[in-house]
Amino acid sequence: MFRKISILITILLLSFSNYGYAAKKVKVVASTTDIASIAKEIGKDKISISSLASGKSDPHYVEVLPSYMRKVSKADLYLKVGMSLDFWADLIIEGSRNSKLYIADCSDGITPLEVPKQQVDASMGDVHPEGNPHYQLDPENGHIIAGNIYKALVAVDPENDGFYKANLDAFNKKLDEKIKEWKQKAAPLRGMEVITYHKSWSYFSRAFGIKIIDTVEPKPGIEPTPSHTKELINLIKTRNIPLIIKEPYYSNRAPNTIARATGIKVLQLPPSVGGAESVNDYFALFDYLINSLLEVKEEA
Amino acid sequence: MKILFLSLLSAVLFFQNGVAQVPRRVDISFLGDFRLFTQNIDGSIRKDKPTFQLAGFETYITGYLNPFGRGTFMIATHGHEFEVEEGYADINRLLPWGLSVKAGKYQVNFGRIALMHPHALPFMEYPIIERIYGGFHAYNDMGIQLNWMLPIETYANLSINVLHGDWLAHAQSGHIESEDIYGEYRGTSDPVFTSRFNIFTGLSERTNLDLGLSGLYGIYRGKDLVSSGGRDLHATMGCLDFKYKWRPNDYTALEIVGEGVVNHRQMPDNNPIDNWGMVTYANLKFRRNYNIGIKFDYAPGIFDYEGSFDWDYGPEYEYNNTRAGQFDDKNHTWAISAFGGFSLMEETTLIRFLVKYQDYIINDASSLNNTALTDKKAELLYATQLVFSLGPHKPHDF
Ligand SMILES: [Zn+2]
Repeated sequence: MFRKISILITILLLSFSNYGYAAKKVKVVASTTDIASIAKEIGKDKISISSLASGKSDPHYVEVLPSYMRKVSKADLYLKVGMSLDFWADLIIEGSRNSKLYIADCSDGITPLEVPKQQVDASMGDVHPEGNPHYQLDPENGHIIAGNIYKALVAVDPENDGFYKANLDAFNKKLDEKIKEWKQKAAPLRGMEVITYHKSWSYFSRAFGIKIIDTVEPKPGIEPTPSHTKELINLIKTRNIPLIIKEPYYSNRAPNTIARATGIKVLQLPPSVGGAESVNDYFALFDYLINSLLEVKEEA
Repeated sequence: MKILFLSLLSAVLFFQNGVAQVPRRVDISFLGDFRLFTQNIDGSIRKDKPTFQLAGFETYITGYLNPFGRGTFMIATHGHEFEVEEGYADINRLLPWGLSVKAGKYQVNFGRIALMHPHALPFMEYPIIERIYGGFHAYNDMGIQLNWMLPIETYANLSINVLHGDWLAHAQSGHIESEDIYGEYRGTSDPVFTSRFNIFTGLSERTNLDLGLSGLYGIYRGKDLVSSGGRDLHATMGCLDFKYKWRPNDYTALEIVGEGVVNHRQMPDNNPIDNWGMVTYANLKFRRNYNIGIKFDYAPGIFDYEGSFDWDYGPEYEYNNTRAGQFDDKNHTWAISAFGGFSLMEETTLIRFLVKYQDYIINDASSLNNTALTDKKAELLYATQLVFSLGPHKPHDF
């Protein structure tokens, strides 16, 4: 009993103390799990990291919860995806009332795909003026994200620059090796034709030579319509497309309708870390995606 | 008022279109609220007839003022004139210790429903208690608000408002202009104080609960008014509110919201009046674009005006009838509503339906002082609403 109370008191003291060992860590909050995963590689045990969107939830629509504001109110650094994907983060940051927070945009230096040529309006659906924001799915962009995170960590914790730099170099080296491995492994996927639910896979398809023929959504962020679904069914039949890739958070309804009409396979693939059982970090994400697609390729 | 609106708008457009060398982004949204409704109120010229109505047109302008805060304007018309329904500055990221300040004209956080704009409510208009106790715009007032986020693990916020307060005496809180025109109705310029404490907690990964407790204290009729009996008469109010939300997946959510208000009024004859009212609703959002729900209202007094959707009533009418409910501890109004909606694209195109059955419990007709009220019959309202909005994305609130 006495011991329990003293443990409780210790925990209480630690949680209120600003000087304990735990408090020395740089507190980092990221919008998505992908960025959090890379940040972990750079910050290691010198940071504590959490992400607001889970790997299974839609990163376009994260609810602005007061509990997120509370979390960010205690943070030193916020890592945004940018390109308007996590526009919801602005309201969370405002609500955090954290005047000391350092905010970094991880899309700095990314060469965006699908930048609209004309002014964006709602007739195009949910198109972002900065281009397609799902850039984490080209592993080459992992280098840029890591570089941005490194810069941000040094800005809030300059004392540990050397530590972060060494981790950045190690991450980049490992990523280069893995990219070589992935490209080799994914060679049979080159030219494979797929339909995706949303335009989450543009960077991924560019990186690995997969051809995205169309999307289940008629326009980004717009729910499938019967007429577009009918068009897709015809397209799949004429071109003999073998696969629909669906993100975990979208409805199965339209993909299943299409599958019933055409016999096409529907594969649920996570565009983010945490979106499937074994996908625990940024490296495991590409392992999982490539392995899953190779399985489909072999079946066909 | 129209001139003020137009000049504000043109100023914003002027700065947006690059006359200023450094563009400072300002988000502007326009919103239209078009309705078609019919009701069965005896004696109404609109009884059983379809009525078209552009129930509201709103302009919402918001942008950062500096790195620490933002400014917001909401300019709207509900029929006749444009008015600044809201105009305030928020300083969120400047003060230490989790403090923030808001000043201007805004929706006061007495309870949680008043914080939402009517078009954001799934049932088109504010619940009856919001209208009876808070006026046409539901606790909209000029003032200063201080917020403090408590330094505990859970999100908890304490908010204190010091308000101009004249709406407490008079009818239409939304129609307070910058001048002190209603001061003569309240008989004092003393501020009214309100506070709200709320705590937000996750019950599970996909279930959240927000609990709030609000209080209000102030003079509703000053001693300078003849009707006050020569002394300052105070109003004391309390409000308990909750919102429960279960989101089994990203595109399905069940929300249950409730709000109960208790009201205590000192009276010139030393017999204070106590009454209470409540509203509760459940709303199920499903398949991303659909929602369906049910609402129950219970309020003091006879909530009466020409059909629920008629904005064409003057302050006097409201003063005599609608808000008299604040001082009625004998009679009651209740209503049950079913509502639903469908959006073609989130936020921008929304179609809603509402069926409302409203009835009255008349225990003491003599206190109503108005024969039109004593023989009120139950009424039924059917309404369809189209909300269309141009402007940037808005994040999803809890
Ligand atoms: Zn997207």
